[in-house]
Amino acid sequence: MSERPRLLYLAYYFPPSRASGVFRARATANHFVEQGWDVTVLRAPDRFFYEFVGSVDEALNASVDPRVEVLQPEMDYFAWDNDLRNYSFWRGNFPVLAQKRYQRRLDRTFPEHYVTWAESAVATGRRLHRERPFDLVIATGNPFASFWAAWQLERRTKVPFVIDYRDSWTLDQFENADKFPPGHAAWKWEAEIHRTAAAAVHVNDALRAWHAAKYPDAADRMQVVLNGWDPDIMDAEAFAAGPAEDRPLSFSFIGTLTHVQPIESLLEGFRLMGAAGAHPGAGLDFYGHIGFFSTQEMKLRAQLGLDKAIPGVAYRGPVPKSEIATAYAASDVLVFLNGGSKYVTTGKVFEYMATGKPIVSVHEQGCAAEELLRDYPLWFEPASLDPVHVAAAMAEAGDAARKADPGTAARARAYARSFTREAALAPFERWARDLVSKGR
Amino acid sequence: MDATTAPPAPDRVVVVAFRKAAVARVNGYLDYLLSRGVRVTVLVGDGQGWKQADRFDPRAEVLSLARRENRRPFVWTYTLLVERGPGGVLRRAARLPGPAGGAGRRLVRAHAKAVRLIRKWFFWRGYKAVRGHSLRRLALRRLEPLRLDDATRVVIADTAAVPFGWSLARRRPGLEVTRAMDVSAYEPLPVTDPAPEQGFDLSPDPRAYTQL
Repeated sequence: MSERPRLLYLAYYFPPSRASGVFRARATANHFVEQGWDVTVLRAPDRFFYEFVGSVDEALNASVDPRVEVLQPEMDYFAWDNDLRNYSFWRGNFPVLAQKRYQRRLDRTFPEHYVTWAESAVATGRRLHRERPFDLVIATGNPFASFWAAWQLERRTKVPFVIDYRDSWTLDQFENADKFPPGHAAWKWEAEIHRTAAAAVHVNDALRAWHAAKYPDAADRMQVVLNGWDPDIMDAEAFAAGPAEDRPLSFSFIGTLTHVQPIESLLEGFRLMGAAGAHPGAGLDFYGHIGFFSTQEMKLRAQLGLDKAIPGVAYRGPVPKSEIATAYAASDVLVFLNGGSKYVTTGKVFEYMATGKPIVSVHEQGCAAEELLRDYPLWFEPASLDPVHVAAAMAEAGDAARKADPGTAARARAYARSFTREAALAPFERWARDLVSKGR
Repeated sequence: MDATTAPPAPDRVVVVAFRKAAVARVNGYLDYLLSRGVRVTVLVGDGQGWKQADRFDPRAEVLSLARRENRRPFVWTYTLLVERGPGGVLRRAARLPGPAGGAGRRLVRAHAKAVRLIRKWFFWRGYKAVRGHSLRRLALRRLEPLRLDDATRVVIADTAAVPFGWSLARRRPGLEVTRAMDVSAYEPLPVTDPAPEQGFDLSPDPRAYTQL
């Protein structure tokens, strides 16, 4: 191909946001630009991240390849803006009519508040396409309004588009149930978008299979692009082989704590392990944010039982992605605390494996991540979420950390090397390049 | 204690609720704030459409616009001509002895039923469109009792109160006027005045609040 192919990437959550899906979006943009594409990212405006969500990690901006062009289409903050000082004359004096008009707009277009951003993204995309045509549009959801924007762009510009499901849209991944009642517009839109998308990308095979069964006509256009770990953020080879003999072990959870994780089993299992005399003085450290939104943090902290002092347990707070290796280096055993569903992999499991340290699972059996952990030589899985079983698995993982066999750690890291972001994205990028060259 | 060592005055929040539907949500918010020592004043427009509404948390100061709202010309004329006037005459007729009294009692019941339907299908259809504006007028003339100078924020609990909140925000740009019942600012405060375990008796009482 003589000219660099041109990609328009619709990624609402993109640095400086620290939302969990940002790392996949960042890696996708970086990988495509590295492989010779001209990449333009359309993301949410700064005002949304700073004023309404408040979950920002500015260090992430530096991790985006400078060749990636990042634009911020504007949006309407009707659903988020609660400050009456910002209300227009219309909304301030006729709030019911304003709400009805806003709802009608959603009913006419797409049933998500983010649709106003998607409308701007379509306008921006069309303008850029007129200046220099795009070869491919990739939209990542959530929000799924980005899928709608890609679909609109395809209708108007005939540029093929790919939808990338970081999460499922209509399936509740944790409850394995429909997210919307029958007849909801989301069903119509998902079917329509699948009908015209060049491909639908999923993060694990269980999600691909569920969508393939739901939309059989599009099944042959579905593929899996796993998440992965980012070698540019974490130097896996730098981790020591094991803890120093003279200090107590540190069991760590690194990631975002949410209400779906079985934290009670973990806390009680940790207590039982200590009570049984295994690994005296061991600590359980939590690194990361509590909840995805700053406004929920205190409430969730109380819900999780982390608002009061628990012997040996410490909440160490959020760690910027650029310093995440420090948290891993301070940990001897990694606790994979997860909501546990066959549809949920989580990106953290790849980072955990990259360290070559013992990993103890604390989640319901049948979690999608088990498929990946099964061949990891330092994985410890409790028989159930019963705290007694969790305590036994933690003690075993602690023993492995104390033993610190360099051979096993090297095998573990070698296994993890096959799960870098690059490795996950490479086949997808090749497929995208083929698709674009056929279209030229 | 001198001025330099005096602890800062606890926050004060003003909550504005003009619709009965907001009571449960407001009470949840009030409980959170009042338990943590935050002072709260509730401005309530409970003149029309608040029948059988629960009361607000008794720890809060509640100021009512009910008497003022019920004296608005449209409301007063409607209630006099359709509800209280004919109702009073018929109740007197119902007290008459013999068959006239029986007929009077039947008319009282028929009138009560008709009033419910007229209120639902005619009165509310017209009045709800202008109620927020009418209450705004009343409330803006009575800002002094709200003591907004020492209020941290004003929380607008329902859509009927938005016109008042919007005008207030225009008059006092330095004051935070918001629709969000955000408790995050008060989460670090210890609980100093918890509600009793069995909860407060919030059963309806039309004379519970200070009238403005």
